[in-house]
Amino acid sequence: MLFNSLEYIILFLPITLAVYFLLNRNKLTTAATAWLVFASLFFYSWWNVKYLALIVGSIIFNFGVGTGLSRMVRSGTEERSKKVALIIGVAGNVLLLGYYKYTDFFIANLNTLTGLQIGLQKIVLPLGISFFTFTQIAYLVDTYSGRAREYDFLNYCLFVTFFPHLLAGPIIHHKEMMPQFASLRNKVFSYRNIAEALFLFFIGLFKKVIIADSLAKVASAGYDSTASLSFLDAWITSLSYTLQLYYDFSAYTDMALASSLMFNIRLPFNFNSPYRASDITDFWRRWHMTLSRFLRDYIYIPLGGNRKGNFRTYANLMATFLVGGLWHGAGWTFVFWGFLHGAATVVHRFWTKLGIELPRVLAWFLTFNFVNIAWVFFRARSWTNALQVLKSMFGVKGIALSISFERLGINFGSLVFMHVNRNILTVLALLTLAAVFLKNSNELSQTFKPNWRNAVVTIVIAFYSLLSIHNVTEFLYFNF
Amino acid sequence: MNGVNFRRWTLTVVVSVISLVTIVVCINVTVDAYGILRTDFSRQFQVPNMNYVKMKYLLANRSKFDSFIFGSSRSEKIDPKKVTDGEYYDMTYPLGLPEEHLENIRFMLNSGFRIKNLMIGLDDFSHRADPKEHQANLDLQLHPAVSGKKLENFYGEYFLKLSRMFGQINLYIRHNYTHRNDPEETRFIYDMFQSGRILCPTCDVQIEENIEQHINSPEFLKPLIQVRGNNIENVLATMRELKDIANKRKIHLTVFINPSHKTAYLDTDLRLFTEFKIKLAEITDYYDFSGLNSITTNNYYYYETSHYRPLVGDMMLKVMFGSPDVIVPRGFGFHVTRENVDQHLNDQCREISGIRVTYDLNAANKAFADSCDAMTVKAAKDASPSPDHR
Repeated sequence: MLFNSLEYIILFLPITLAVYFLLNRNKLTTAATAWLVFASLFFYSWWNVKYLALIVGSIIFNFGVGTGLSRMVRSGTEERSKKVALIIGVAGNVLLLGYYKYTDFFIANLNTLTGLQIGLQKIVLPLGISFFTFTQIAYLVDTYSGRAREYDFLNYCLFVTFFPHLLAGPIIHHKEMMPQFASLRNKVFSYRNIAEALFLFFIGLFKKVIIADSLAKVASAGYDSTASLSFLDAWITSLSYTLQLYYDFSAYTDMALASSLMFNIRLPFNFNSPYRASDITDFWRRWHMTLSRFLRDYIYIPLGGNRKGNFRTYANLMATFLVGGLWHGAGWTFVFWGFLHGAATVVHRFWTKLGIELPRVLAWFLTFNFVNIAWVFFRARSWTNALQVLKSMFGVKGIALSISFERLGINFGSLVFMHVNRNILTVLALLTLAAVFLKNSNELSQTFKPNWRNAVVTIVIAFYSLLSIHNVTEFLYFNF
Repeated sequence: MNGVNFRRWTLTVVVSVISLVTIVVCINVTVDAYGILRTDFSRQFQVPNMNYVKMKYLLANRSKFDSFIFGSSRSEKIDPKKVTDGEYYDMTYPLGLPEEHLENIRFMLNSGFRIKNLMIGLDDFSHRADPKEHQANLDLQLHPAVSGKKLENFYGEYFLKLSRMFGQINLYIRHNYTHRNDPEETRFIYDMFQSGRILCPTCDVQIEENIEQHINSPEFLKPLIQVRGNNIENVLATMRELKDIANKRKIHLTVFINPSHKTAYLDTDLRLFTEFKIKLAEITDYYDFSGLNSITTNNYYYYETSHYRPLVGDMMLKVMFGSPDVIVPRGFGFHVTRENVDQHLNDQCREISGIRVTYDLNAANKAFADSCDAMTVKAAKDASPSPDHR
C-alpha cells in the first residue's frame, strides 16, 4: 500500500489508528500491539500477499538468532560462540537479500566474464526487503554488542513490521523504537501529535503528488531519449531527476514520520535539506541520514573507521560507499555512483587537511553540481545512457538551446504555476531555491503551532494533493 | 486557536478537507460529464468516454451482439444495422486506434464474447498517433477492466478532479436548466444502447436545406485534427495480431481505410501513409476509401474535414458487402491486396502529382509528388524520410 493512495488515507490509516487507540483505551495493550502487527502485515501484503511468508520467515529467523544471542550475552558465553551466531544471522540476511536483489546481476557478470549463457532468473525484488533486512542486521549486531535485547516475539514483530517504516525506512534501531512502543504515555490518543502529523503528512503528500510526480514526467522523458538530448535538455533532465529524487524520497519520509507520529511514535529524521550542503560529507549528514548512520555504524567503523591511518581511512570510506552504491541497486552504474561519492569524500577529507577553505557559495555550487552529475549514473538505465546525458550536459554534442519537452507531451500538474512548462528552467530554479533556502518539513513540524495560518495552508495543500492523487505512482526508493 | 488548541485545529483541518473534497466529488458525480455512472444518455451534454461507456454496456449485454465495428468517430458514420450478416454494434470511439481495438477485442474474447464479424476502420492518423497518450485522457481511456487500471484510480480520475470541472458545470446547467428547450442542446442523440452511435439527424437536414452554404464553408479549408508522429511498426504489429486472432478464432475480419476529406488527406504525410498502406497489404487485404476521388473532394459528403456523412457510410458498405442499395460513384473504394497494392498506390501517387498544379501542397507532400513523377511507389517508400518523421 502506498502512503499517497486513497485506500491508505481514507481507509487504512484511520481504521488502524481508531482500533489501536480503542484497544489501548480499554487497557488491551497486547491486543493493540497485535492489531498493529496485523495491520502492518496487511499493509505489506497489499502489494503482493505472496511475499508475506518471506517477511514472516525473516522475522522468525532473526528473532531466533537474536534471542539466542541475547541469552549468550546474558550468560557470558564465550566470544567465539557469540560471533558464530552473529555471523550465521548476518549471513542469513545477506543471502536472502543477495538472492532477491543480486542473483541476476551475478549471473550477468559471470556470463560476461566466462562466456557462459546462464539464463537470468528475473527475480522480482520484494518490496522493502533492503530496508527490513538492514533493520534486522542492525538489531543482531546491537544484540551481539549488548545494546539490544528482545524476548517478546510480538514486540519484535512490531519493531520490524511497523508499517510507517516498513517499505522504505527510515532504517531504525531497536533501542530507539522499543522504549517508545513500551511507554504507556504513548498509548493515549494525542491531538497534539495528530495535529503535527497531519501538517507533516500533507506537506509530504504535496511534495510527492504535485512536485515530485510533475518532475518525474520531465526526468522520464529525458532519460527515455538520451540520444537526442540537447545541451539544455540534458541539464533540465538531470536537474529534474535530482529534484525529483529529493522531493519524492523526502515526501515519503515526511509521510512515514507523520503516520508514525499519529501512533505517538517518533521515527528518526532522514533528511535535513541535503541540497544545502556545502561539502560532500555534509551532504551525507543530510541525505538519507539513517542509511548513512547504518553504513557508518555497521560497515565503516567495524572496518576500522579512521583509527588505522590515512590510507586505511580512505580505503574504508571507499568500501563503505561502494557497498552503499550496491545496496541501492544491482548494477555497475550504482556501484560507480557509490565510487564517485566515495572518491569525493576522500578528496574532501584530504582537502580539509590542507586547511584551504573555499568561499561558501563556491563550495555549495561544486557540491550541488557534483551530486547532480553523480545522480545521472544513479538514474540512467545503462552506461551508454548515462554517458549520452553527460556528453550533452558538457556540450560535447554542441550547445543548442532547444527545449523538446513540449513535443514529448510534457505537461505539469494542475497547479497554476506548474502550467508554465515553457518556463521549466524557472520552475527548476524555484524548486532548487526552495530545497536550499526554505525550512524543511522537519524544521516546520518541529516549530509547528496550531494557528489559523497553518490550518489554511494545510487545508489548501491537502485539498490540492488529494485531488491530484488519482495518478498513484510508486516512491522511487521502493526500487532499492 | 492561537498556539494552544490542538484539538480544535485538528478537527478544523479534517472537517474542512473532507468537506471540500466531498463537494468536488458530489459536483463531479452529479455532472458526470464523461458518462461514467450514467444509465440514461438522453440529457448528455458532451461526448462521453465512449470507450468506457460502450464496453460497460457490452459487458452487461454479452450475448446481444456478435459483430462489431471498431474505429474512430469517422467509422461511426457506418450504420451497423445496415450490415446484414450478424448483429452489429458500433464499437467506435473518438480517435480510436488499432492498439486500443486490439486490447478491447482481446479482452472481449477472454471474457467469453462470441465474435462472428469484425470491421476495423483505419484513418490517416492511425499509424501516427500514440495510444499511450489516450490512456491519460478522460475522454478516451479504456474501460478499467480492459486496461487493468485500479478501480479507485479510474474513478478518482473522474470524480476527484478540479480540471474542466467549472466549464462542465456551466455546460450542465445550460443543458439541463437555462437552455433546456433549445434544439441546439438536443441535436445529438447518444444511441449507446441500440446501435452504439451518436446520431445527428438535424445536422443532415440543415445541410440539405442549404447545400451551397455548406459546401462553401471556410471550415473545409483547414484540417480539423492534425496528428504528428510515426507509429507504423506498432500499428502493423497490432494489425498482424488482429489478423492472427481472426484466423485462429474464425472471425470474419474486414479492414478498411476511411475516406479522409481532401484537406485532411493532403495535410497528412502522404509518403508515410503510402508506406503504411504498402506494409498493411502484406498483412491483410483491405478496402481503401482514401485518396482523391469524387467523394473526398466534395464537401457535400462531409460535416467538416474530419467526418464524412452517413450517406458515405452507406456507399462504403455497398462497396464492402454489396448492400444497402445505393449508388456508388466510380473510383470510390478499392479492394487492396498484396498483389495489386503497387498498382493502386501508383494510381494514388499520380493523383497527388496531378493536383500539384491547383493545390498548394505542404513541403513534405510536394516532395512526395515530385518523387511520384520519377519513381514507382516502392521507390518512393525507400526514399529518405520526410522532415516531420520522428
